[in-house]
Amino acid sequence: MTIRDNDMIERYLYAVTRHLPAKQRDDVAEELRTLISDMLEERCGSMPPAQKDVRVVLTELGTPGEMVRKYTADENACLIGQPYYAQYLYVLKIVLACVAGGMLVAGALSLATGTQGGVLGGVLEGIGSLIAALVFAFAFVTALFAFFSHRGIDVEVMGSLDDLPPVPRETRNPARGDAVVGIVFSIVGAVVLLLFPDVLNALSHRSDGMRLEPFNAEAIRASAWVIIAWTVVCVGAESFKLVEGRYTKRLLAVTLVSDLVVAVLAVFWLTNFHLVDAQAIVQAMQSSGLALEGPVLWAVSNVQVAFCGFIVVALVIDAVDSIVKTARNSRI
Amino acid sequence: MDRNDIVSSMVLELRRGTLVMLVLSRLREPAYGYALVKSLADHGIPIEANTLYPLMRRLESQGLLESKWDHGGSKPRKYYRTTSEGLRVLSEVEEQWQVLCGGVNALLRVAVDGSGGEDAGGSGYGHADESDRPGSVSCCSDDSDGNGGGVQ
Repeated sequence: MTIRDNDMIERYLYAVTRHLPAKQRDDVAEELRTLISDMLEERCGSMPPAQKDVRVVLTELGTPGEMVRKYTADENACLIGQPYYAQYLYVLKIVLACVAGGMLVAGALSLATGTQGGVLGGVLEGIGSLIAALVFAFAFVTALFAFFSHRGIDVEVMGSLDDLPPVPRETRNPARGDAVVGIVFSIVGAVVLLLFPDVLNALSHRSDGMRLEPFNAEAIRASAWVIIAWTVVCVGAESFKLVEGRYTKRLLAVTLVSDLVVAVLAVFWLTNFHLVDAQAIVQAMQSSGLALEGPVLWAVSNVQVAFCGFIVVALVIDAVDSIVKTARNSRI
Repeated sequence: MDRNDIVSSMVLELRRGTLVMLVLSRLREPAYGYALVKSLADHGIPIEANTLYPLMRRLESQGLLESKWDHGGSKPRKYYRTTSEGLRVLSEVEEQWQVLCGGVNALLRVAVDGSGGEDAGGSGYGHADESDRPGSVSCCSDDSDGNGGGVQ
């Protein structure tokens, strides 16, 4: 056997073993080396094998890719396996559609309200933001479902006859519909807040025609990480709801934890950032002839605190709603 | 897909289903991979080395085979041998294989004879009492060399 033939065998072995776990590589290479030698001996007998013989034997053995597939056939080598893949595609479509739709609507509004400089510049900037946001959304959903798939978030609930899911009374599973609504709201809200906070100001008008900018776009931008974290937690929890498909105890646990995290984020966000100019709103309402007094005046004057309370109450309602639905589901 | 391809595909599936059993059976005595390839081929069961080698490695990781390198010969060889756990698994699988063959053969014979009837064939899986039905086993009779279950 010439050095060149030997080199081809070594290159073949390297091509196969480099894709295998490190602790197996030497062992597999040694075993295949002996196998190739046996196959060459059988083919050539006492004659030294030519390069052509080496090629024939290696071809008979299979391409390196084929060998790697056979050695790793039992491993969970795909990023997102079934049954997650179908749900991954479903969530991905919703998320991408929401991101694209939300950004297109908000972009059109910002162009129409003149908050962007020029039309061309605004369109180009909008396309760039759209692509970046779609890539981010794709990466996030993919990473989320890869985590579900690889970390054993078991969606098989039909392990025994006792675990058979009840036939839903509605035509569609309620948890699935709730999850879709939750994902849509989370993403559209985040898109508007993150990318087009100026639109919120542009949509606000005083009755006397004076300029009104109730939202502090700089503060909203500065707190972008809170909004992103909020959205990630919400979409993650809703995606789990979608995967689970019905109200179970572990879905309840995920919901309660995500509600708690969102509550902490909301309190932090609304108490540490000056997001809304409450005085400007009070003045605008008074200029339009609205006489504010009592609790309403307090709520408008302390709009962030009031909104914070509103969110916490909404989260408590969501938690109670989940507990009730889980209890009802377990009784069926 | 023409008829030959369909037949090849079905035969391949049949072989694949019996391969683990045959490997565990043949490796009662230690052997290296290529020797097993030749041994199976000699019995009319051609198996690609690139299928057998990864399979033996998987069976080893499951504790059904054990291996040992022999560096004493002209080239290093890795010898595999069925473990005691592998033998226990083989025994149970072989029992099911005999039942399966009995049922399949009976059903195939019924189809050829055209006699029909619900009770003509064995219902197969999990009913060991039907495996010893007289005349029902044609391809799964006991191996004379003790390897058990070989399709010869």
